This record gives sequence, C-alpha cells and structure tokens, in this order.
Amino acid sequence: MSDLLDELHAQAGLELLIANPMLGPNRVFDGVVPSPTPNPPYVMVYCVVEWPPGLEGMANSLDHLSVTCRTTYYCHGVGATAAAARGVGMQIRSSLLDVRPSVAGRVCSMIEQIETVPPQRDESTGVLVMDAISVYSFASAPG
Amino acid sequence: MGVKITGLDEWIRDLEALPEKAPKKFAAVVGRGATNIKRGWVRRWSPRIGGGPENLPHVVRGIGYDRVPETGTHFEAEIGVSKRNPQASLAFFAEMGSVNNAPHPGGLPALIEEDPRFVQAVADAAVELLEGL
Repeated sequence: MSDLLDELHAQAGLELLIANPMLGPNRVFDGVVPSPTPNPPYVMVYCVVEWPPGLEGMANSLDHLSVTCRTTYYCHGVGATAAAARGVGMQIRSSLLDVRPSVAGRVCSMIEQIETVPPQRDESTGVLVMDAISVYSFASAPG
Repeated sequence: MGVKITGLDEWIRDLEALPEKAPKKFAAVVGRGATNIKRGWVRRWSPRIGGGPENLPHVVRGIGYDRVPETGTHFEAEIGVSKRNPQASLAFFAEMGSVNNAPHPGGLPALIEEDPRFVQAVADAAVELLEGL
C-alpha cells in the first residue's frame, strides 16, 4: 500500500506556487501544458521526487534504510518576451526560495535554488514563447 | 629563560612539504570527482535517451570532462557534453526539458550525489597531507 509520500512532496512546492496570487491555479501547470495552449505568462513545473542511495540518502538512519527524500522542481517560467519570462522567474523565486515546505510526518529543509538559465526561445508547444528555467530543490527526513 | 620544543620536527617537515605535495593531491581529488560525476551522468542517461533511433545516443557518448589548468590553489574540472559532439546542441533540452517536454535530469543529480563524497575526499586528502602520508 502506498504511503503517498512522493505525491505529498511534489505537491508541497506546487501548492506554494499556486498560493502566489500573481500565479494562481490557472497559471501553474504540473507536467503538461493544457490544450488549447494558454497564453503566457505561466509556469510549467516538472517535479522529480527521489530517494537517493548512499551518503545523501541515509540521513539519520542507523539501519541504512533510504529515509531521505529529495524533491526537485524544474520550473519553466514562460512569457511572451524575455522580460516577461524573467518576471515569471521572479514570481517562482519569491514563492519557493528559502521557504520551508510542509509535508506531514517529515522534517523539511528550506527550498534552495540549484540553477537558473536565462530566457530562451521555445516553440515546443507550437507557439513561440520565451522560457526562463529555474531549478529548486529541498530534502526531507522522517520527523 | 628559554623555550624548548620537542617532537615537532616531523610536523614541521610535513608542513614544509605541503606546497609541493598538496597541489598534486587535491588535483587528483578533483579529477576523481569529475570522473564520478561523468559516470553518474552516463548511468542516468543511458537507459533513458541512450538507445534507439529517436534517442540521443551521441549525447550520452559525448559526456566527458576537461581539467581546467590549475592556477595556484584553484583546481577545476568542467563536466558535460563536448561542444564537438554532433548532438551537443540537444543536450540542454535533455537535461532541462522544454515547455512541452519533461527533462531527463542526469548531470545535476550526479553532481548532488557526488557532493558529500567529494567533500569527504578533500578532507581525507588534507588529513593525509598533515600526517605526512
């Protein structure tokens, strides 16, 4: 039986983005852009939930069980122009950076920014937009 | 009145040898770290985009690392897909995804995975140097 932990971790960051009044549920998409393709600005988020092995994964577990969870959000800030894409990137940052997410039964680190990429052309939805990518991540352990 | 020092000669010799021995040792640690990241990256990408006509096998084969020339106590390595690789321009989309395509994270998780090992290796190298090994 699943403990739903992976989904809870993924939702923790998505909920923070949706809670930003400048974004909201109609501008934050989880893994797929709706059809028909919406007009920018919006945020496309790919969530990666991992239970890493080795030094990072064991955390405080004396029995070497994989207890540490690392959640990474690949956020694509989409705008009609480079400035607009950067603006979405700033909203993403103000929603996530240095925030300690809440996951039931877990102690979470603050969300940190791992990487940012300047806005670039993206036509993968059939519409030319500017895409500013930023990557955020946090770790959690049982608590 | 005077000062007598005993048992420090060996320690002083070790410290005097540091400028000669340390660069070699730390450069080797950086090299090992870069190799580990490269291997972790290849390991992650191979099953996802490493085979089949619609995948990017050249990108996976192109992952390598270059040692940046040392300057004083600065040791650096660059890990990634060689710019000379025929599919190099597509590597970014594989790693970061696009608005309509999910990423296949390989480099970033490999880097995060190596982080604690690298820190430990640097600490071990420092201890070995100070102990004269």
